[in-house]
Amino acid sequence: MTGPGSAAQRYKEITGRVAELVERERQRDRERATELERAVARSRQELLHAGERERLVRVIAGAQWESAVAALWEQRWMKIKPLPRIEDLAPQRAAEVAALDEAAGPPSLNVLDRRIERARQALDDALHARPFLRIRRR
Amino acid sequence: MERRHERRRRIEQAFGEFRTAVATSLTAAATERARAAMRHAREVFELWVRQEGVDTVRTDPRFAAARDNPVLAPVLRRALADRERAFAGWTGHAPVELAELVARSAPGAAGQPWESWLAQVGRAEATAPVPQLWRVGTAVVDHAPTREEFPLAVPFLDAAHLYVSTNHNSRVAAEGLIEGLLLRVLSYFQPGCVQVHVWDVGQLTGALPGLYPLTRSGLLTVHDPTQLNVLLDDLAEHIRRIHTSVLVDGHPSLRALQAATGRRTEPWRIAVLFGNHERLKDDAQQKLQRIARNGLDCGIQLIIVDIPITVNSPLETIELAEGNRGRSTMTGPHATVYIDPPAPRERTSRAVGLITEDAIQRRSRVCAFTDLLPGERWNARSTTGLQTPIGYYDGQQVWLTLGDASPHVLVGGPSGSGKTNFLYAMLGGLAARYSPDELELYLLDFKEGVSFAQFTPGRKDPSWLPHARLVGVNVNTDREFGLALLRFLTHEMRRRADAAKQHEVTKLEELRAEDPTGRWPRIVAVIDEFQYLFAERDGVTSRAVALLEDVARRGRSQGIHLVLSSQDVSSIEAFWGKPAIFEQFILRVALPKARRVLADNNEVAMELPRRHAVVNHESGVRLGNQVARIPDATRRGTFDVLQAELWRARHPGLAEPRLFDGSHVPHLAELADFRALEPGRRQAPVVLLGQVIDVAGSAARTTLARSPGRNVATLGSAVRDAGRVLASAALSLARQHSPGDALFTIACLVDDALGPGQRLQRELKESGHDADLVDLDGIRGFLDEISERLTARLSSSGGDRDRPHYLVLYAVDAAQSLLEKKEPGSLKSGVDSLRQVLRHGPELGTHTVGWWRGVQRLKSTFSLGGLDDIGAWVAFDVHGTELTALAAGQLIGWSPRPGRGLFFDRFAHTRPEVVIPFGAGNGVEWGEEDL
Repeated sequence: MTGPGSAAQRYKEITGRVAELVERERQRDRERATELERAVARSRQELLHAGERERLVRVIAGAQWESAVAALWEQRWMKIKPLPRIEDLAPQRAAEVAALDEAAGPPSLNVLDRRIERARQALDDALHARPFLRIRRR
Repeated sequence: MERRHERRRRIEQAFGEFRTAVATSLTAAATERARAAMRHAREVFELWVRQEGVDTVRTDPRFAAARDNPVLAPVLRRALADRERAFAGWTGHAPVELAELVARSAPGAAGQPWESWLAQVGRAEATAPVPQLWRVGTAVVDHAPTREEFPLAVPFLDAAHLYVSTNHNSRVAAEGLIEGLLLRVLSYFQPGCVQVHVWDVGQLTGALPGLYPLTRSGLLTVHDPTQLNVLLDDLAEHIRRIHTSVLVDGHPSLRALQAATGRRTEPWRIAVLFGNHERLKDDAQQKLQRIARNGLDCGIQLIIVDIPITVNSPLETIELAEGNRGRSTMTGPHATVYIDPPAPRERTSRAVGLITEDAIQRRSRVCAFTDLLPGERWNARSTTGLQTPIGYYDGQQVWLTLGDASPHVLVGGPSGSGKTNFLYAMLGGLAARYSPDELELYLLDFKEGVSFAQFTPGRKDPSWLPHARLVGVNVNTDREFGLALLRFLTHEMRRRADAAKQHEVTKLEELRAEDPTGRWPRIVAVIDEFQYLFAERDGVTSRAVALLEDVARRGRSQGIHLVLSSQDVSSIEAFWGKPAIFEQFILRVALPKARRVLADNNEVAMELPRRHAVVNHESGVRLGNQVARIPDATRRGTFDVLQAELWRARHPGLAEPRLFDGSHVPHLAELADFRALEPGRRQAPVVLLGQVIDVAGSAARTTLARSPGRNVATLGSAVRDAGRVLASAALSLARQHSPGDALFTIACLVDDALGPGQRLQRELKESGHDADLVDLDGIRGFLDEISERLTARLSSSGGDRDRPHYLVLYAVDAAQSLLEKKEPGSLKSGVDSLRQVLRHGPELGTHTVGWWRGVQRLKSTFSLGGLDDIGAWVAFDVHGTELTALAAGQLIGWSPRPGRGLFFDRFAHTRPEVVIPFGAGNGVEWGEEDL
């Protein structure tokens, strides 16, 4: 018999569970996909912003560097170490990028900006030798 | 100087710090961007994974690059981990559960690998528990994180049909699947429990070739591609037969019946139908659907391959897409099934060979009478007909059906060919299945011998067959009895037809439905050596033919069935001359060497071995032949045991069957008609002269009213015959008068008559009656005295009514010469007195019962006319031509018959009838001297 209590019915009960699992998995995938669509849009925006910021940083840093190099032009005695190449600074290979998972985050860019400015100012100060008197308030 | 160094140092330091700051800043910005890119890439990838499915992403070459990317690898890992979590309830548990379930539900050959059971013949009997599942392969869930195989099994016998869907890539695998399943079934049960039928729309041979040796033993039948309807009709017929005669008492299926009674008498019939993806013709399609709907209850399983059909009963499907791979309804849409590879061809051949041999051996085992009997007695209803197996062929029962389609049976076979045995087998099967309320038997055996005496109580065996209402043996010279039976059947037919009309129906079936509390058993009348009934060209034959035709034609609808058996059907002229009768005998049974029972070109009976019979429900046409081996049903321990069992089970109020034995002398004292006689009745007294040859066994009688002609004569030469008639007449008269109310005078006019006369006188006196004895010396005086008295009474009016005076005269003609003498001076002779007594006695209560030793001698008593003073006579060894004058001028065909007389009552009869004179009640003959 294939009626209630039969082995055949029990068999189909068990194999029927797969359909449930598959359906639930599909449901979850669908829900997650919906979330991800939004997340992808967001992260795309963020990527664009990150790219913009990087460009800005490069421009400003570049400008600061140029002005520093110009200020030191007179100091013929000085050897000016160039900046490291960009490739050496940023993780390029996928493995390196993957390793970012573990790495601690860098300090915020604004902090770093100020550090540049301070360092530039300190350079200026050093160049114009008014060390004891010039204490600038920040 | 120092200041310059100091200044340079500070500049260098400041620059160093500045450089570091710039580098750090650039690094940080780049890192931020890289991180954003990674996040984005991962989210895009995960979106692919969620949309396409993790398996696609895992296997599709489009995603090969992405798979190798260590950035994206964690995404994939996580998705896979998710799936593993989702399947946690399944993985490791369910496949194990399924394997255990299949192991439990498909034991032995049903589920084990072929190595453990193939080439062993099945031992399970049909009553063993039926496996609930049968293994056919393995299955795997498509998306499971771990690939775990589990067994694929289907419900089959008694549970569900199987549908297999194939294409040209997988047809071979499908055949392997079916062959494997059938091998499991055939190897699980004993050979014979399962029969397989194969039909292939496209080919006669080729489908399931590995099983072909089974055809030899009949376990497998291959059907011609054009004969699908024959197969379907056959299956439908089995279903119908099983429903009407096996599944009674509310059992809905063979499985339920087996659960309730522990018996299973029908084999499983598996029909494998190979199609070509096209629907069958409409009528075949409908038949198949009906079989599918009703078959499972009756042990009929279908395996349908590629025939589009909707089936409203349990059905499992296996779709094979490519080779042995496919899907099935047992495992659902998310699992792939793989059919087990078939066993090696040599192993299969050997197994099939062993099964075939075992089946053949089983079949040739001689079947026993008890094999024909049902598990439960008296369970069947005869509403639509009667059915019983009567033998075996190839292990299968061969059935005999009496019903609308085949109401009457003709059985033929030379003497010694087993006719009696066949009849016993048939009667045993019927009596065991149907109770006496469902079936009545009337059995007549014309030949010498006592075939049916077994069914009545006897000295050694007090049991009798409860269904038997009438048994006639030694009937060979009493053809009237066959006639009487036919007359009875006609009467019964009319009675039933009248009852049916009252209920406004026409057939017995319908009558039973309308009158469920009434008793309307089917009647089976068996006449063995019936050709004797038609042996002479005389009135008996012509009347018998007319009655037989009537019963043959109309008995069918009133539930009256004839079984006529004969040594030689061709000798029956009258029978053959009436095709209307012959046509009604649609069921023919031929024993070895029988002629003319089957159709002319149907010679199968000539080659039948001993103990076999051909049963043919098609009027003897060859197509209807069914050969059967009939078990021994006559030897001790077979029918007698069944009869004793049924006898003990009978309803206590059931009367014994009436036995008519042609060689038996009936006794007056045993007769109900005699016992019913008593004094004080208002009607004129009756004389009982002998037993009529009829179904009820009633007495031949005439009335002695007070009117002319009421005398009785018996004509014949032997004192015994005459003595019987005279004695039974006198004793029956004595019983109707209180002692003293009647006078008996017994005249013994020959020496031989003295003994019987004295005995009669003694008996009459013992009952308290006045009985005088007169001999030759006193007869003249006696007759004169009576004659004078009568004359005196006649010439006066009024006066008391005389008490009845009965003259019992032995050998009247012996006194003729004495009576003829005239007294000197007297005008009257003794003969005149006698005539006076005969003529005027009856109206005054003086009746004569006399024996004349010949017709001519009787006539001498009356000389000119006056024969009408003898109102009734019983003639023995005289010839019919002599009796014409006594029987109103009728031509009478009568010749002396031992123990039989011809009785005619001119006041009551149209024709004379044959009677059997009574013997005494205590074994001593009335006509013989006391020793």
